Amino acid sequence: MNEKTQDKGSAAFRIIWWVVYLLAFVVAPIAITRLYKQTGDSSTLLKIALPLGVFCVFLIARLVFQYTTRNMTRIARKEATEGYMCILPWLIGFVSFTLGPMLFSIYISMCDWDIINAPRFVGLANFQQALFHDFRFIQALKVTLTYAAFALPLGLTGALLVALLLNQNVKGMSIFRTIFYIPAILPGIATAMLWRWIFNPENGILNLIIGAINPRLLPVASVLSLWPVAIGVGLIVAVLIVLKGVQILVRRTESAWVGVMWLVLALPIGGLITAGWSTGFGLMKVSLAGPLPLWLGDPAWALPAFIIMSLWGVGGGMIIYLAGLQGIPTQLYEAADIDGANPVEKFRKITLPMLSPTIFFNLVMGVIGSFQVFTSSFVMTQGGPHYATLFYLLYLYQKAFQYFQMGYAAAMAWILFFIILLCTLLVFKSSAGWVYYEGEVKGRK
Amino acid sequence: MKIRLITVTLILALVVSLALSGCSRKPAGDSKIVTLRMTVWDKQEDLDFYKQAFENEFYKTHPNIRVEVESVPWLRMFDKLLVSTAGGRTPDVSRVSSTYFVPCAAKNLLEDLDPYIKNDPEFDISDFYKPAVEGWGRYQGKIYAIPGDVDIYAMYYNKNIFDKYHIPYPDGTWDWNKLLEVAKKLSIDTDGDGKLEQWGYVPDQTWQAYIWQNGGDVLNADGTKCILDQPAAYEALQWMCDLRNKYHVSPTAADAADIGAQKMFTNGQIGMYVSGSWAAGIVFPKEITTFKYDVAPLPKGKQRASFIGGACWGILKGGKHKKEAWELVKFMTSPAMQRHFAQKKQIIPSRKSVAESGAYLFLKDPPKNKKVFIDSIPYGRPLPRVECSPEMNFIIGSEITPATLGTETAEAVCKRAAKRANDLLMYEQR
Repeated sequence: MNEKTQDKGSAAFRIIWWVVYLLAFVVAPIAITRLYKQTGDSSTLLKIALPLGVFCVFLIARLVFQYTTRNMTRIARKEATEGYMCILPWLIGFVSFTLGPMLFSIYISMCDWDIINAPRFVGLANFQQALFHDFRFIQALKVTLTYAAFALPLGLTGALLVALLLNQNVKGMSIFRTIFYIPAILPGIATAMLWRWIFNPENGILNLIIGAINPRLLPVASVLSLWPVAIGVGLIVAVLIVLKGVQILVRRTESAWVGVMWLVLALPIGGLITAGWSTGFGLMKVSLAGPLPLWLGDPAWALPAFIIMSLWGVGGGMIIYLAGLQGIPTQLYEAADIDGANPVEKFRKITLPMLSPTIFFNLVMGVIGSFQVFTSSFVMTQGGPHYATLFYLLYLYQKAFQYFQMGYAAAMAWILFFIILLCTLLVFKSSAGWVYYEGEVKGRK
Repeated sequence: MKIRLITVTLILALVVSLALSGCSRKPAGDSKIVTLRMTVWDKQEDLDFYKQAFENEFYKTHPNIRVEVESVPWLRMFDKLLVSTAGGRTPDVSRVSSTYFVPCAAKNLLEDLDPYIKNDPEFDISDFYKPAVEGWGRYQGKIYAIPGDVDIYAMYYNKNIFDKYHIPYPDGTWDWNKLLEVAKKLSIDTDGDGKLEQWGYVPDQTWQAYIWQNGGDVLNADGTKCILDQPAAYEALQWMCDLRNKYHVSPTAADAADIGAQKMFTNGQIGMYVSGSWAAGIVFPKEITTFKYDVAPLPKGKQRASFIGGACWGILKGGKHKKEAWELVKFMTSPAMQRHFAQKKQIIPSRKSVAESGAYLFLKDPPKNKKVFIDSIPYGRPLPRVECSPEMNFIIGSEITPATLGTETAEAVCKRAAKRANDLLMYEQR
């Protein structure tokens, strides 16, 4: 009885709803376009179109809801409704401020748009220009990848080392932890201003330290770079290799061929080491004797300066490592102690595997973060000197908000999205091989 | 239950849409008084000055107009105008820098002022300096803004240093050779530690001026091609870089990195320093305390040239009260206001009648020889007038960096800069 009346009611409602759909999706848009063509007044029509759009989104949401809950019982449906109502504030925000702009940027990436005049559809021309004809795009990619290649491993190991240090049982540890974590919560602009002072070539603290150390290192480097020293080192290595070959031939620990190979390779390896040694220390001598780096003023030193600066932010990764370290059960270490493991073994066989999920997390966040450097380069160098710090996001910002080529900037954003997606996927794929989860059963698939 | 939910949601949607449409509704107010919004890039003290000027003069002659002044950082002005136009809430009047005038006009942000000028018998555009009107007033044959002030580059010099070494002050007869000769005499290692403490000359950032003086240019006459790859251009740039890297009469990047070349001049470490007339108005009065200074024309190369810029007042296309806005623009560029600006900040008036009257020339504050600036205006040249000039300036500026650091020749960097600037000009015509 009850069921039947509801069916009747919903049949009537269904018709009303269909009329509403028809009005919202077909009649109103046609009317608005007509009106626009007649009057050409966009601002008043926008006032009608905007609420209509909001209403249409609501209608679509209703359809989706009805479709997904079509096989549910009444109670389940009620629960689902309540669930959706609970996430509604977030959902509205997500759709209007994240999903909407994202979809719009896909369209815009295929347009020529200066935000004033109407977008002009150009197909894939923006992507083509970026990937094949724009030297600044390539430069921005190069700068960002170089930065990531150095800053990422440095940051990961740096954060781990600090976390290990701060995991010791020493008095006042919480103060040290706070000190190391403070840089991570300082605003980016303040940090950038601070580092501009540190990198100041004349009075910066970095060059003051280097200037004090250099004269002391210089004699060491000049002695080490002398030819006799280099040849001596090469000879010692060659002699060691020859001895190893002879040992193999005499004791027959491996096949004779390996021994002969060692003997043959002794001279080339020794020569290579001599050459490498002398050029390496020669360069060191020259750079120690030369002027101090200009850091942000020198195209060759600006990016290294940014990489050094990235270490400032290890606090964020450190705190996560610290949490991971604290989560390792102490009985594992106790068992290892009883078995007579030394600290290095304990680190390699217990700490690292148990910490691998944390490392994995930090790696993923690090990959994403190192592709998104912006504030520091925007404040400190504006991409200069000579494009040395033209990070990808900085170039994107320039294109979008200084040159107002929105379509091009949107295309760049999507290219970056796919680069980050690819890198993250690679990390995820590789994680099966090195990330260990406690309680997970590793076996054949 | 279900129906109730739907009703609730519908009401919610209605409220949201009402709220959204309400955002763009005009605030109710007295319809007789028109409030204009005006954007500038000035400090608080200047804003106070504007307020005073409006109350004492403008509101008395225009009782139906009120003005709200907003200050935006100079660097953000262009974004502000573009974004506010896109968002449908433009200011009515804005001060526009010569750097961004052409991009603003080309992007169709500014109202064409020709009809206003034609219908207004009391306004005479011919009173304004021609380089100013042509540089940051006219675009493709139409006037889009009225120049408000002129800013021209000349060579400031530290009189005390010249006196100390008994060298005559620079004057209009100087050329590049004389400049180098004197600069060498003034570059001195005062404490004998092998490093210079005092330098003869700083070229500042006006590398274009040397190219113009040498008969070259950045772009060809119609702005379609970059001609930095011609000898006239790269030889001039090489000469400028040699001052620093070969003759050592100018502080290197490392020397100037600490406090900047301008501060070194105001500290008394530099004999001659090229900068704009704005420096004498807003920087030097506060910072130069230990010596006397004056100004001389830029030394000539094959010909005379200097870098000229400034600012103008334009009406935004998106504004609603164009008629009242024109009255405001007229007021801001009026002789009375220009006299005020000259007195307050030593801004060179864009009106010939005001500039050449005593209002600017006989100001008491140094430099004494202000006529140098006025005399330089006829050969002043603005930055390249193309729509993509912000992007092109970044590219060319980045490309010539290795030459200024002395790691590459000017010829090599100029050829690369020309190629890349041409690629950009090609891309802009897509």
